[in-house]
Parts: sequence; C-alpha cells; structure tokens
Amino acid sequence: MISRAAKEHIFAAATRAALGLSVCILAFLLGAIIVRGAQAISLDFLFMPSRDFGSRGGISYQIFGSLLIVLTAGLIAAPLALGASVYRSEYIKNTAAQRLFDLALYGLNGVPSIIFGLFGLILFVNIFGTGLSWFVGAVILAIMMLPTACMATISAMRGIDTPYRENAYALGLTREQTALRIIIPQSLHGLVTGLLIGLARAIGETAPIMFIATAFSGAGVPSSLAEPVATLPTHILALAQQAADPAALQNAWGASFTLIALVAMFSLAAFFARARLLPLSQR
Amino acid sequence: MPQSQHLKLVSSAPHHVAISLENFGVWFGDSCILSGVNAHLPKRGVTVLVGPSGAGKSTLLRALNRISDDMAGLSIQGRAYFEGCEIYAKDCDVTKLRARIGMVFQKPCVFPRSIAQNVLFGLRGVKLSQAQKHDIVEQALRGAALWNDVHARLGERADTLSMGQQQRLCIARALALKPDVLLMDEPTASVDPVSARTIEALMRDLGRTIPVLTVTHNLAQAKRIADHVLFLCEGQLVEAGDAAHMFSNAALPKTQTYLCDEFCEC
Repeated sequence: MISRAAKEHIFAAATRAALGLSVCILAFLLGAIIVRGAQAISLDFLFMPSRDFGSRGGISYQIFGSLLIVLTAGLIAAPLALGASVYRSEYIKNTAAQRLFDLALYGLNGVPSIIFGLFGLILFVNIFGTGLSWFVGAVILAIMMLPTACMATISAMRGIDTPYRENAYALGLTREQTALRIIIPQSLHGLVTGLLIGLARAIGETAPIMFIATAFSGAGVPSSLAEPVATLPTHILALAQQAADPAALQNAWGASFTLIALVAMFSLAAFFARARLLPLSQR
Repeated sequence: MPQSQHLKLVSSAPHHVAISLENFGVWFGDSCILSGVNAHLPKRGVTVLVGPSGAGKSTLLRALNRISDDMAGLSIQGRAYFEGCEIYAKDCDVTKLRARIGMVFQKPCVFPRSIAQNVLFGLRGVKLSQAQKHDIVEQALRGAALWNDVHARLGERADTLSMGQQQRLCIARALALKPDVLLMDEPTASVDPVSARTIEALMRDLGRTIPVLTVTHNLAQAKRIADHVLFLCEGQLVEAGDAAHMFSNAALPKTQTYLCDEFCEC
C-alpha cells in the first residue's frame, strides 16, 4: 500500500514532469527557429522584396501583407466583439439564451481554420465574385478571431460588480448609458487582450486566407481592397515546398523567425495592455 | 388596533404623502417576498424600515425605484404610487423615476473617476457651464457633509477616499440630482462608528426637506433618526407609526417584542 506522503510525492512529480515536457517542447521548437532563423535575419532580409519565388531577397511585402490583413481584421472584429459582448452581458437576461449564445461562441471558436477559408472562397470569391482580395481575407480572419475577443470581453464584463450597474441605474442612467460609461470602460482590458490574442493567432494562419487573399508570388503593396497580398505563413509554405534549395530553406527559417517574433510581439502587447487597462479595483 | 389606524400615524392626509402602497407585494418566481403592504411615506422626515433579516425591507426599498426590474422572475402585486403616479404603470419612465427617487446602497460604490466627476455622474448629458458644475458639486458635497474634507482635491480619484467618505460621496451623487425622495439601504452598515454618526446626522438634515426612507438593523440608530417607523416581518407590514409611539407604546406584541426587547438589549 502506498503511503499518503508517497502519493503526494508521485502526484507532484507527475505534474512537474508534465510541465517540464511542455516547456521542453516549446523550448525545442522556439530554439530551432531562433537558432536557424536568426542566421537569415538582416536589414536587407526584412526590408527587401523577395525574388525568385522567395528563394532570394527579403520578406518586406510578406511582413507588410500579414500586418495589413491582421490589423484590418482587428479593426473589423473590435466593434463586432464589443457589441456582441455588451448585448450578451447587459441585454440577454434569459439563462437559456445566454447559454445558447455561449455555445455559439464556443462552436465558432472550434471551427477548423480551413473551413473559414472554404466559407470565404464560396461566399466571396464564387458567389460575390470578389476574386483574390486582402480585404476579404481580413473579414474572414475577423470572423475567426471574434469568439476569442468576445469571450475575453464577456469575461471582463462578468467581472464588473453588480453594484456598479445598480448605482448607475439608481442615478437614472439607461442601460445604454450604463454600458457606455461603466461597463465598456471597465472591460476594455478584456477586449484589447482578446483582440491581441486573436491577432497573434490570426497572423500565423495560412488556411483561411490561402484561397481568398494571398498570392504566393508577385504581390506587392495593394492599391485597392480587391487585390491579393503576400503573407508570411503562405510564403513559408511556398518556401517549404522548395526545401531542396538551401537558400529557400534558409529564407523559410528566417520568415518563420520573423513570424514568431510578430506573434510574440502581439502576445506581449496583450500582456501589457491587460496590465495597463485593468481597472484599479481588479488589479 | 387595526393596521389602518397605525398607518394614519404616518400620514393622515394624501397631500402629505410622497409614496403610498396599496396591497403591495413582490414575488420572485414562486417565492413571495412581500405581500399586502399598505403604507404611506410622508413628504418630510425620516422613515425607518425595521425588521428581522428576510423580512423584505430591502426588497421593498428596491422595488420603490424599480432597481430590481431586471431580476429574473420578479413580479409585482398591488400598487405603488409616487406623488400620485403609479410606479409600475406601463408608461412610467423608469430612468426619470430613478433619478427622482434617489437611492444609496449598503456598500459604497464609487465610479473609477474623480470626486467631482462622481458627483456629476447622474447629470451627464445635461449641458452645464463650468460654473454651474462647480456649484452643483459644492452644493451636493456640502449636503452630504463632505465638502470640508474634499474641496481641495475634487480632481482626485474617488476610490482614494475612506469608506465613510465614499458613502457620503454616494449620497452627494444622489443629491446632485435633487431627488424628491431618498432611499437608503443600510447606509451605515459598511462604515466606522464616527462616519455612521455623521451619516445619521445627515439623514436627519435631509429629512427636513425631503422624505428619507432607510433600512437599518441597528435599533439604537433607528431610535436616534426615525420620525416614522415601519416594522416588517416575514414579508408583511406588521405595524407602522410615529417613532416615539412605536418605540414606547407599540400596539402589537410582536412589534413590542422586536422593538422594545431587542432595543433594551442593546
């Protein structure tokens, strides 16, 4: 029979091993990308356009395209997430309706990214005839990041004590005024954090935008909404297909390193935004 | 003595009545919290709602400015009138009603803004000059006995104030709207004894100009501040009347036991 102390010891060791393994996998992944990718990084690589289908030159258009698509997606998703969250938090009082709304959000969050890509392809490219368009890609990414932003915002709104609402109502404020003056300012940290996490996820996505918004080569700075752009994930995919060419492989590592750096940048921004925007009462 | 006679002690003439309740009841789903309450709130003075926990005191208070409207399963029986208008009428403008029937809660809750902005919070959307705003802030803070404490730091965050000061700021915030009635749900429960005494004095002062309806569990406090007393028990209004009469010579044994015995124990 195992003693209580031994059980405690085994449990602690198992959890420690799980944590260690997770950290090791992440460290190995990041280590490989940093070690190999850092060798490719130079000012020319970051600020020059690519040549020879990406195997030569830099990734300036890919960085620009990725940032353009995800930042536009963020701008589209922000008001939608805010509106949906306010409605869920302040207007839906029926518990069954709240659960249904939450279920829809979780469901949307669980949809594989390729499905979003196919949805965009069928609706925008085939039915609406938009052709390849970076803006359509941004719309699809906005839909994709919506549940993350909504869930973070709703969670922040739930964290606001009921007395805040009651005190506002008792002063004769309407529900709309209470939402605008009390609820939204105090839950902004949730929205910003959710959006930035959504952006961090979206910037690395290939599948949703591959068929509708990106060109594997030849794309530059778009002059209209209806033009494709080059993005980092699709560029890495294209370079991986030329892995036999050492120069292309080197550029793939460099582009991966840059992509990881952008993801880390958004994640760090989310961390600092949360710390900065969190109401004093919740810090 | 029949209950109606006790109620006459609170107010015998309709023009002296700010709020009147006729067979008023509150239900949450299948639970009856209050039923058959008939009472008048006079236009002046401090009326204190007393009774054991679960008697329905806070429910009654919250029902009067419809702050509980959003609570699931709420249903109202009977009628409640505020200056002759039915509070639960379909065409009643709830936001205007709430601005006219001010409410201060048990736990002070200041908004994460400056002291002055808190006072003016209910007046957002009303066009006011800087001078008007300053006058309103000063008047409301003086009315809440807080001006001397904070006049030099009106721009500071309200959550830097002590709990007692925060509660007085909540009172000032309500006063800034110039309410016709002030409801106070155990306003001294979360503050220290010194602040509690300040708020008690404040309630007495306010009661000279507007009706103040307050809930308290502290019977010594009730005796200090009350002009009128409503005694509730198990969702029923047991007895109501003039404070001096209620504390010295309540008609019903249940009221005597609660007010006199418990008060004597204090």
